[in-house]
Amino acid sequence: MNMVTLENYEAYIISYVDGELNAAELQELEAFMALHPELRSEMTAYENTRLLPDTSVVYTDKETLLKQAPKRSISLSQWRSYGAAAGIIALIGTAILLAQHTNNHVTTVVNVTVNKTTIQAPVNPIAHENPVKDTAMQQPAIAIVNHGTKARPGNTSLKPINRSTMTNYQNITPPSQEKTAADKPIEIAKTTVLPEPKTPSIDTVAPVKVQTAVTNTPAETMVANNPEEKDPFAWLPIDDIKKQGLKDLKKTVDKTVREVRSVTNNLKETALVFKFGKKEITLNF
Amino acid sequence: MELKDYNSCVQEWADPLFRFAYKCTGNAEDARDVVQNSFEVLWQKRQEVYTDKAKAFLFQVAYRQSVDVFRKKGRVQYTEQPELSGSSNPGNPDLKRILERALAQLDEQARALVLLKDYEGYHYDEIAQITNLSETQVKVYLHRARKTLKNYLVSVENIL
Repeated sequence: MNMVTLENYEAYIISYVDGELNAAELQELEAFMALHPELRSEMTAYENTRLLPDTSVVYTDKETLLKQAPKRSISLSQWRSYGAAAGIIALIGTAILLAQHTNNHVTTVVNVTVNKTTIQAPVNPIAHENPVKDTAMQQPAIAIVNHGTKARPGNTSLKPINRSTMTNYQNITPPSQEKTAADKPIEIAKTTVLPEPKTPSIDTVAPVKVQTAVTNTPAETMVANNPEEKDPFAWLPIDDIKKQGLKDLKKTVDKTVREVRSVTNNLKETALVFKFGKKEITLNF
Repeated sequence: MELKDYNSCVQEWADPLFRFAYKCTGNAEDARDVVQNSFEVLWQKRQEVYTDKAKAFLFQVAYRQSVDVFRKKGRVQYTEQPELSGSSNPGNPDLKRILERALAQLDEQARALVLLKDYEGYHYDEIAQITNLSETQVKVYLHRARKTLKNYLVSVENIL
């Protein structure tokens, strides 16, 4: 029984033109067309409706449609930011290193303080008798060895400043009014004059004094090294060996505290200014 | 779909897509816009489109946009294209011109279906997916379009 008839042959022909017939259907259509040759022209007409791709029609700008892989690059603005950050870090690091290694600045500060102390402490008769100390502190070791003598000629450049400072502070009768500034210097004055009766021992004390001047807390070291100072641990009911251990521990702690104070004091007086075009950044420590 | 797959699609399917859009819209500039938009949509959806489905995706977008363009502008007026004549059917240039005119007799949807069938060789079910029609609708519309084209060819042959 033929599936292709005169009623549906046109649909078969169109499906044939569209390429949608399977092998069995195609065979049936061929058999039907063999029986009806008068329909061959119609079948040819349908075959002529099949369009062929016009290969001459092309899209000319394919490059505009292509995509590129994202480039891994850092923009100039980012480089500027990185450069500024690196510069700030380098400057801060340099400033810290300079602050740690530049002890001259600290020594100067200490000298000024000592000068004030020496003059501000008229209650201490020994310090008052030795105003030379204000210049002697510029070179502590030599000054103490030459204790009681005239100031070194080499320090004359500092004398006017010290004398003017002295005159300014001589009018200040109650030194306790400047409590914060005078507490440490008073101790310095005491300690510096303590070895006075024992001249031979001054040579051993003097180097220590240099160190204390640098660390800006000379009194504590001087007290710690003074053999006549009271033993702070004498009241403890422990052995002498343990007391000595406590003393050593105290000395170590004091030394660490002095170093920390030295760094912090330097940092308090340090400021960094960065200029980026019209912008200015100030870092205060 | 990766970048290289997308670029391969551009190299392989830009011309067929432009050809399809050009025959649908009858206007080269509209066809270029359709192609650019289709590939742009593909690029945006590249994470969701498999490479082997990229061609159907492109023609789906192009079909919608071509039909939209056509509906906005109305029926296109096919004109003689001297630079194109004789290129697709060198053996019978007259038949090609007649077919061009016959194609203009179809509505935009039927024309797109014929182009998808003849130019790209899609089957009914594939055309149904691209055009969002049922397979039966595709078959009916295509058969109707064939009859129209055949009748036009027969009528012209009779006149000639």
